[in-house]
Amino acid sequence: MSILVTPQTRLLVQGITGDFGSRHAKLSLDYGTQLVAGVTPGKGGQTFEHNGHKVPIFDTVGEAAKQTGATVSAIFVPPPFAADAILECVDAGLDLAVAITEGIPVSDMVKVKAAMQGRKTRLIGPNCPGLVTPWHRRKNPSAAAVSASLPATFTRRATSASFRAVAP
Amino acid sequence: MWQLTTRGYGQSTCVGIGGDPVNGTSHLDVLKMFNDDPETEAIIMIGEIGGDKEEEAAVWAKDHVKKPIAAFIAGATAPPGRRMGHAGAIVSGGKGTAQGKIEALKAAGIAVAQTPSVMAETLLKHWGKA
Repeated sequence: MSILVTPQTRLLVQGITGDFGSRHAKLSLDYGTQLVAGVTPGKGGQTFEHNGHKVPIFDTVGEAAKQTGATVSAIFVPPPFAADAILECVDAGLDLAVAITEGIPVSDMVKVKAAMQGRKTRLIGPNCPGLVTPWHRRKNPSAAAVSASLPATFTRRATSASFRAVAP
Repeated sequence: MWQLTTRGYGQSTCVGIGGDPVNGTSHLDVLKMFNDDPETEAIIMIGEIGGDKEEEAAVWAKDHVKKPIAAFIAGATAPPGRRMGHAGAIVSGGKGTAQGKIEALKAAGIAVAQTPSVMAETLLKHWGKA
């Protein structure tokens, strides 16, 4: 077990065609995350490709969730548009929105928090390194005995770059 | 993660809640989830100066969490009034100091690591595994 995300979690990335978003989308795919959709307004219909993976891109979160069954979003959208990106997740009824973006105006976040009251979506961040459920270590037989029986847990507020910003 | 993994301990989930002053999920929210997760046996909580979210989590943990918790608070040497990298990381009006947080954590029975490099060690000692 884990919290928030499992290896089966279907992820979408908002801002997947951007520099930061595409870099971390690739890292997530390499890590084994079920990255099923990307969202960039105006680029719907295109495909994000990496190492044989083909990830469809949609114009909106609602459409992406409907077509692919994604329930979690990782947001790599520039600060002026990030609050709206979070609200899109809320409107699409996602379980979790992970906002990586640093520099979202506090006044925007106050409005987002108010709009999220009583809604289903949980928000992690913003200005955060994401989250990870390191399941592969348990699949590795040499590590499974110790790690499956003795998992410790790690919560952190971002304080350094030592934790790779993959979400989940 | 590295410290725990090299000592033979896996992680159920690692969450970075972010350093902004207005955020979606607090230390306490995550602590509650880990407390309810049957496969999570121990918890490391990393905080930093500013705000009172670490204290809030500590107060709740004292009465509700049976799992061993170790913590680290960044910013022990931070000068008051200066924002330390994160928007929310500021000692303001004498509130939110690392020392104050460390005392609150200790009062709640949480083991506090003095430096980030001994977080796993501090947890394992507190847990009775080392």
